[in-house]
Amino acid sequence: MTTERTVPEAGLARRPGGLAWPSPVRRLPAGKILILLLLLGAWEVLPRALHANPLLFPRATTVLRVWVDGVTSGELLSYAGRSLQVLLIGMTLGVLGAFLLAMIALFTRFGRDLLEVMTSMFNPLPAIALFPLALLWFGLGINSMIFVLIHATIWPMALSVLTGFVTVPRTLVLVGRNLGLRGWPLAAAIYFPAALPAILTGLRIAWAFAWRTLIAAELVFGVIGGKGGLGWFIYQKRYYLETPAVFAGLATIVLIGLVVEHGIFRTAEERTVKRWGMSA
Amino acid sequence: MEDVSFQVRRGEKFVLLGPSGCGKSTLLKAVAGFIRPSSGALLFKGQATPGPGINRILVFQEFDQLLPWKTVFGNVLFGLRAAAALSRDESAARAARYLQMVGLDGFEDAYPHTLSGGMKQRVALARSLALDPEVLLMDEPFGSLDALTRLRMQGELNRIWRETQKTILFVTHSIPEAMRIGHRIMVMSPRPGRAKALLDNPSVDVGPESPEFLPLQQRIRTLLGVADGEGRRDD
Repeated sequence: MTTERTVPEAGLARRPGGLAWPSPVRRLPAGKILILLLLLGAWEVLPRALHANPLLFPRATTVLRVWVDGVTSGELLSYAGRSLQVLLIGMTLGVLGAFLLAMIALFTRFGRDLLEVMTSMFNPLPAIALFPLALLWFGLGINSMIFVLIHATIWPMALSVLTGFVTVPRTLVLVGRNLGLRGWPLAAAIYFPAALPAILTGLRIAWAFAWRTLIAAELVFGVIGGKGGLGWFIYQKRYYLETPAVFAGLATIVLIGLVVEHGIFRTAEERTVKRWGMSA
Repeated sequence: MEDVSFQVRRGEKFVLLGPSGCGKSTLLKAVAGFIRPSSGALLFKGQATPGPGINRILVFQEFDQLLPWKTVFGNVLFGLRAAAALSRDESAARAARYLQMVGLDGFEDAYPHTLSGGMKQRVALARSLALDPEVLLMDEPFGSLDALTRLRMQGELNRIWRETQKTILFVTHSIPEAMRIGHRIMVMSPRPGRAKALLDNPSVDVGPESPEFLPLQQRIRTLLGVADGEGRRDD
């Protein structure tokens, strides 16, 4: 019996199973690296050429030295760690709440209306704007942070999860039902994996909102629960006019953002939805 | 749909043939248990059919019936693990056997999006056959394939039927496909969905050389209102 093993597409199936861990550095094309180097060079040369006050605009190497000191002494790392810890708690709660909301919205008309009203109402309102209220309600502490972080993540995430569930192919659901699956087993076997592209998109957005909100909250309202995060670090250093440290703090924020965005999210997508041909 | 009555015999290939809108797919989904008939009854071995079950497995036309996040092997295994009371080893052995039957051994680790349409439908067929259903329901399974692949898959289905002797209920709107596959063909008409005739197809194993082939083809075309002149080449 002839099979289709000779069709051209069949060759694609022969891809080796083990994908190498994609490194964000290897993906950087030469052009982008060149731009980065030019920017760093300008940062090093221009302040001196323009006789800028080093207290206001330190050179790249100065900032780099302070950054390395901050990392090796553990000071920067512990501030960053505290920021990430608070972020993780808030984001986890927000994401769990988002799944709950999306489920309710999936099964009830009321839930769907509620989600639509809430998202369109809160969309123009930056989460940070709720922080003064949060301080009134929960006091100056980690709880206020977590409150605004939940608010920053839950609405966009719930919307993404709902979109993911709603767009699961009908045929796929019927395949699951044909096997006798229903309720929770059907959701676990079909709905969740089929909605993964949208769930990952939601997590990306939620992360971006949460990270910006957190840093802003730390900056504006300073210390949280006795010990601050990266925003507080920058705030303090500005107060003492340690400008290179302010830059080092900013660089750390950018670096963490890049690592999460490209290292974690993009890798997760490449190992799952891209590999399965599910991303749009 | 009104006034449709038929009986499928064990081990035969029964084809529902008709234009879109005649309710043939709806009928098949009702047999699968996805929808409840508003009136009338569906009996399976003399018993009213409950909801969906693995004794009636449906193969769809859509390629997205495969789980994109599972490999070819994983897709076949998924059906077995989800529904059949088999050990892991037994399931794996069975999955391998049916993948070989549809000619896909060697593609176990491929993900569905890397496969051609014909290969995807082979995977769906293997997944369904591996569950050893009492009736295999097929809803225009080759409808999205190119003409050549479609012809090849019809031949494959006939070969697999000879190997397994499965009862197959097959829905199509293609006259040549119906005549190549169905031992019996029920011709249906639309609005309201209605059974026009139930025809025996003695030419099924012989093909166009059979003396019965042309008269039967003419009969079906007349029933469907596409006799000479209007829509001669249908597929």
